[in-house]
Formats: sequence, C-alpha cells, structure tokens
Amino acid sequence: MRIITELISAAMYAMLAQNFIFTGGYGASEAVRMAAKPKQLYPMTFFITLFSTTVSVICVLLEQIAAVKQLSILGHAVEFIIVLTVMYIIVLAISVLVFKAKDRTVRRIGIAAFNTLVIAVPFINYRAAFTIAQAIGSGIGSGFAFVIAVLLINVGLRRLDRNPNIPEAFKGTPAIFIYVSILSLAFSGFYGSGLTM
Amino acid sequence: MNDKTSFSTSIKNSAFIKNPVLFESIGIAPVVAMAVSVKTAIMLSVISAAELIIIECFASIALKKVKHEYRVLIYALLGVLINVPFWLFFSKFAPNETANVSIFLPIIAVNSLIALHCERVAVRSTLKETFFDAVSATIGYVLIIFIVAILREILGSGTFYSIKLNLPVQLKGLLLPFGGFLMLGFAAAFFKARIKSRYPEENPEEAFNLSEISQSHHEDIKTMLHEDFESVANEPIKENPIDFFKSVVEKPEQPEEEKHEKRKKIKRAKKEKPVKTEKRKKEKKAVEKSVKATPIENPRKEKYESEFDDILLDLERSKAPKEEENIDISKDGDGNGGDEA
Amino acid sequence: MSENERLRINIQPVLSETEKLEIKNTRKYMIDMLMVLLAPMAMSFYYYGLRAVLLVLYAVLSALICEFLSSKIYKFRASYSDLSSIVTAISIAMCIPASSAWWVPVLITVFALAVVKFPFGNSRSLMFLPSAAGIAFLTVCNSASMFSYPVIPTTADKFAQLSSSNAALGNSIAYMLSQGNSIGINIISYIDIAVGNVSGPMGTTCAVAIIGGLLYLLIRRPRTAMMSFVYLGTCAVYAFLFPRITTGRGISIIMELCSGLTGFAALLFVTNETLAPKRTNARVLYAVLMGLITMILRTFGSIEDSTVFAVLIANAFACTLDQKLPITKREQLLLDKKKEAEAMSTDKPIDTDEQSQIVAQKVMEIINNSEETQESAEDENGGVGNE
Repeated sequence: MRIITELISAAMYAMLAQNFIFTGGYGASEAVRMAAKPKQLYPMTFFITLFSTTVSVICVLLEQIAAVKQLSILGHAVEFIIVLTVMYIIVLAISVLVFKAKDRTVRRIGIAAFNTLVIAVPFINYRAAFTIAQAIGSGIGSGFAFVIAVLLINVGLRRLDRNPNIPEAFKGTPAIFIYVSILSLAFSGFYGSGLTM
Repeated sequence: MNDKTSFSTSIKNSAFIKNPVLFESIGIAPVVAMAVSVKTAIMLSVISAAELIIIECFASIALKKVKHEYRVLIYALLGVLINVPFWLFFSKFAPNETANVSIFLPIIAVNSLIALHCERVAVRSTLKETFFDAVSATIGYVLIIFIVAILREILGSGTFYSIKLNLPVQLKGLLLPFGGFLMLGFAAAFFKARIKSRYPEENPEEAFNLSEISQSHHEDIKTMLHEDFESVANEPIKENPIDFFKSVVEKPEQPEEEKHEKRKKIKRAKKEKPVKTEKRKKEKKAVEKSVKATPIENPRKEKYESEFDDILLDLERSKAPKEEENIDISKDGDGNGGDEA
Repeated sequence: MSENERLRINIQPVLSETEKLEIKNTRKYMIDMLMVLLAPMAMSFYYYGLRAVLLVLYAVLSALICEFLSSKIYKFRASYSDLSSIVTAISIAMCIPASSAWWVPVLITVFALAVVKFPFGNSRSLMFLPSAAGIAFLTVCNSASMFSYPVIPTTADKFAQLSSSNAALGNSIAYMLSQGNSIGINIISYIDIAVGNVSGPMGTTCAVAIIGGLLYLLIRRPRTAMMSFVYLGTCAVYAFLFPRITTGRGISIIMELCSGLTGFAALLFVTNETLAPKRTNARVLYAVLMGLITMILRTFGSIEDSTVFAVLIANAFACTLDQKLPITKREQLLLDKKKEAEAMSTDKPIDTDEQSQIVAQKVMEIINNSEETQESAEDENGGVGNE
C-alpha cells in the first residue's frame, strides 16, 4: 500500500506539481512541435513514458551498487546515457522484429528516446534520492506530463490560429512562446517556484 | 556563387530567418532551463557550438549510409563524448557555476537541435555546406542564448556577469522557465519585425508551419497500433543497402474499405427496381455472386473490374431493354465477370 | 501615410461596422464590470483613504500609457473606448495590499497588458485573463510584496501610516487558513468579515460589497452570474468536505469564501465573457473546474492564495469545454429551431429541371470515375485491365 502511495504521489508530482515541461522546460521543443501534429501524440507519449520509466528504474537499481553510487555527477550522466542507449536498442529490436514496426514508428522511437525530458527524469530521481516505486511513478508521471503539455499547447495553437487580431510581429512562434510562458506561470502556482533540482 | 556569399546567405537563413530556437522551436530546453546568467550562457554556447559543428561534420562524412535509427544513437553518444572534456574544463575553472548547472550539461547531448540539423542537412549535403550550416545555426543559437541570459540575469538577479547593478526591482520569476519562454517570445517578435522590415519577401513563419494543426486526434489504441505496427501488403518493400532488419511480408487481409465497398454493392443491387423477368433476376444473381465469391489477388484490380461490370450492365440495360430477354444468362455477365480464379 | 505603408503596418484606415459593434458590446460589458467594482472600490477608499485612490490612479494611468505605447510598438489599433484596460487596471488595484509601493500596480498592469493582452490582440481575443496573470507574475517574482497586508489604519492620517516602511502588518484570513490555525468567531467576528474590517487585499475583503456585486450581475447578466454562483458553490462544497480548520465545517465555508481573492474571482475573474465557454453546461463545468483547482492549490500548494493560478489553468481548458461536451436535448432543440428558421427564410422548391441536371451530373461523375479507374488500372497492369 505504501509502495502504491509513493508511486502515485511521485506520478502526480511529476505531472502537476512540478510538470517537467512547464516548470522545468524539459522536452519543451518536442511538446511544441508535437502540439502542431497531435496525431503523433499517443505513440510518442507511449514511447516517452516507456523510456523514462524503464531508464529511471534501471538507474535506481544500479544506484544500489556501491561503485555506481560513488560516481560523480559526470559519471552518473554517462551512466544514464548508456542505460538509455541500451534501452533504445532493445525497444527498437522488439518493435521491428516482433511488432513489425513501420519506418515512421521507428523514427518516433528515436525521437522519443533521445530527448531532454527522458534524460532529465533519471537525474531528478537521482537528486531526489527516489525509491524504485517513486522512480516508476516519476517515469509514468513524466509521460502524462508530456500529454498534458501537448494537449494544452495544441488547444492554444488552435485558438491562436483562429485569432485574426494578433499583431503581425507576434503571429506564429512569438505568440506560441508567450502562450506557453503563461501556462508555465500557471503551473508554477503548484509549487510557487520552478523545478527544484 | 563564391564561398563568402554562400556563407553569408547561410548565416542569413539559418541564423536569422530560420533561427532554430525562435522560428523552428528546436533546442528550447537548454535555453529556457539553463540560460539564466552570462556565465551559464558561455558554458552552454561553447558546448553547443562544439557539439553541433563536430557532430554535423562527422555525420556528413561518415553517417550518410547508416540507417536513421542508428544515427540518432550515434548523435547522443557523440554528444556525451564531446561534453565530458568541456565539463572537466569548466569544473576546473568555474566549479561553482558548473555545480549549479550540473544536470543541464548532459541534456545538451540530446539537444534536438543537433539531431534535426544532422538529419536535415548533414546527411544530405556536402561537407562544405554542412559546415556552413553548422556554423550558421550555431551563430543563431548562441545569439539567442546570450540575449535571453543577459536579460534574465539583469532583470531577474540584478547582476551582470555576477557584478551587482543595484537595480530597484528584481524579478526573480524571470529566472524560472516561464521567464525563458517569455524572453523567447519577445525575442522572436522582435526578430520577426526586423526581418519583415529588412527582407519583406522572407517569411520566418514558414519555418514552423501552423497550418498543420488539426483537431486533436482521439483514435482508439487498437487503430493506432494497427496503423503503426501492421505492414500493409500494397506498400512496396523498401530495400536498404544496410538492411539489418527486414520486414516480413504477410499474406494481406482484405482491407476494411474493400469489405465495406462490397457490402454497399450488394445493398445497391438489392435496392434496384424489382426485376420484371426471371432472366433479369438470374442475371442479377450472377453479378452478385461474382462480386461476393472473388478471391483477392489484386484488390484494386478486382474493385475496378466489379465496378466496371455493374456499369456495363446498367448501360446495356438502359440502351436495349427489349434485347435483354435474349441475353444468354448462362454466361458470366458479359464474359467479364469476376472469375479470376 | 500612404496606402502601402498602412497595409504594411496592418492598420485598417477605418473601423468596419462589425468592429464598431464589437467595441460597443465590449463597452457595455465593461460598464457592467465597473458598476460591479464600484462597491469594492468605495470600501477600499473608506478603509485605506488616499493611498487606495492613488494606487488605483497609478494603475489606470499606467494602463492607458501602456496601451498607447503598445499600440505604437506592436502596431495595432488601440481601443480606449471599450474601457477594457481601465477595468483590468482597477481590478488589479483591488487585489494588491494597500501598503504596496507605487511600482507594484504599475508593474502588474504593464505585464497584464503588454505581455498577456496586447500580443494576442484585444479584449475580444484574450487567451488568459490579464489581471490574473499579472498578479500571478508578481506573486512568483516577489511574493512578499503581494501578501504583506497592512492592518486597517485607525488614525486620521491613513496615508502616512500606510506609506511608512514600518507599516504594521496584519494576518489575512487566507494566511491563517494556510497555517492551519483554528480560526473562528473568537478571532474574527462575522461583522468584521461582512464589512471588510480584516487585513487583506484592498478591495476584496468586504463580503457585503462582493454580494452586492453578485446581485447586480444576477440582474444584469444572469448567465454570467450563474458561473459566479457555481464557482462559489464548488469552493463551499470543497471547504465543507475538506476543512482546513477544526472549528467546524460551517465556519470553514465562511472563512474559505471570504478569504483572499475567492469572492473577487467569483465577481470578475470567472465571469470574463471572452474567456468563458459559450454553452451553459460548459460554463458550469468551467466554473466547477476553476473552483476545484482553486481549493486544491490552496490545500496542497505552497502559496498563501493561489486563486489566480487556478484562473489561468481554467482559462487554458475553457476553449475545449465548448467543443468536447455532448450536445444536450435543449441545445439540439434550439439548433433545430435555428436551422428551420434559416431554411424558412431561404427555402425554395427545387426545379424539376434542376433535379434532372443534378442527376445528369452524378451520372457523368460515375462514368468519369470509371474511366479514370480504367486508365489507372491500365497504367499499373501495363495493358488492358480486363485481361
């Protein structure tokens, strides 16, 4: 029961209280670009959640090894990238060999694996000294945080697209960034500040 | 066109008109999260510049024939390899600042800016063009990093390069990612206004096409998985020079559309005017049978042929209604029925 | 200015009839909002004297100057006559402490207009509520200046008492609730809450003024007032179910509704017509969502009063509520009636000639489609498709 509570609270934390995209800026490029192409949202979210969860769990497990625990922050960074690389190869192999993934899905797997959001999650887990349950929750929460971010930005993009009153200089990405900045301001109300590292 | 002109054109395009951060919305995370002071901006700029130039050039030389899914992997690994010496350098000469931004440095290794420029330019162009693109994109990226960092440090911390400026108001909120997005928004508006006034024919909005927005797509997972994971028999199999994993071609199932079309035809045939003579009834049954019982080898051909049969039948009936009674209905329609077996 | 220059900077030479009508409607709405703000303003002037008047004036002047400068820099047509900037400025002034420095209302107003309103157009194309965003901005930047409420001055020289850097600070109800203090009538009397004799934002503490504003809205704009009541109802239900104090659920409801910006949000933030959904059930859901997020942020957040953040989050969701909610029977009836009315006005019997033309057109389409299919099949098969 305690494990489930830890998992859920870590997930809610990653999703709302410290939404990684809005209060940390991680995965912002992917979120903004995905918001313009929402049909790719569900596969991308699935893979992002998969990678962030598995990488954070493996990294938390590796942290139990004394040699790994004593690594500097640089060492940990290298460790996280290596774990992510291995996970990417495994997921790619399974997708292509078992599920007969198409080319576009393979491209999505690449984008979903190597982005700032996925690599930030194990770092945050490491700095916060999360347990395994919390690491799982954090990984799942980051996936949902990505969905929330993309859907909210997509809604904003549609409104901006239909808005004829925007001054010429602000049409396009300027208005999008200002919109995202106010969303980020709104989400900082949960914690009163940015992402605590 | 000489090198100088093409380089200046490349800078104009990549650094300003299609600035990667402001107009293409790539590489936002490090700017928004890390560019909060001049010192961190220097670190971020140096590392980003090194990574972008080295990785793009390497991709242009060695990665053109490698499959996309392995290239992204190599970009990330190379990014980390390039990060490590810079990190050690900055740890030695600016330990406090490096400690403050410890998480962000490896994040630069997976910066979408690198992957996108490598895929878009490096693997499709010569080394010279790639180098020009890398340098231009770097100039554009570094410019934005410094603009955002300087403004955020002055307005947020009240300092410049850690030198106190004794400003009356400090807006610490600008040091948050919210401030980064805000600065990017206004910087983009400023750049766009300048570009429009100086180069009226250029349109920075084209770099990020908002017309692709569609309604949020609520597909069920089953359909999504079907589209992403099942191979469709009509698509040609791609043959790659380095083909580590071949997709297996399965026996095609009849697509849903074809089934739906068939059902429509049967319904249509049933709804037709009641056949006056027995011969007409038999004729109709023959057409229906041919539509139902056809094994599919080439679905498109079958669809065309069955439609053509119906049209021919209707045309003949309308042309010579009296002659219909003399038609020998033991044959399959006009001899063009669906007996493809 | 030549026509080319005018087109280049995208300012239309003359307002169209539609634009004039829009501005007129906006002005009517803003006049109602100003009427609603009259009572809170009057109470703030009564309690805080000249200081309150000056803060309101600073806000209004900075709003007008900001609109003027923004129209030149961003290149759009300023519309002072729709009174929207003035309403934004006054509502901002009502939400800040009376002991705020002069730059506080100026900064919030400039942010609200230059960053949140004008980059997206005008008051008819808002993406977020400017006043809420401005207050949220200062809360995040410098929360001390937002939540340092002075005690209500009792001396004759209120201005001097409030202007002093050592102005005595009081505890607002929101602060006491956030600390989990068991507040009740032994600490704050109901009369004080009713008349606003408590520390808090300048214009939001007087419950009677807020109720008066709600009644005015109910008479003038019942559909809008409905959202206010639903919002307050949601907050009340949450306060009843999950009280933050131990002195009773009834007192919890009163304290939560009378604390911070809750009442003011019900009056002005939730009722913004541009941002609120258009359909009735969507409006109800919008108000419920805003109330729920307000109370959740208050319970679990670290900020004393995070009403404005809840308003911004609800603004982000507002647009989808109109589209995603299923159509009710009543709405379907209204739509059908509307369609009938339109059809009646433009209805005419279809000509037999016209009918036969349509049929002939369809036959030609079928024949053309079959020809195209034949050609494409021939191209693919490299020969006649039938063989």
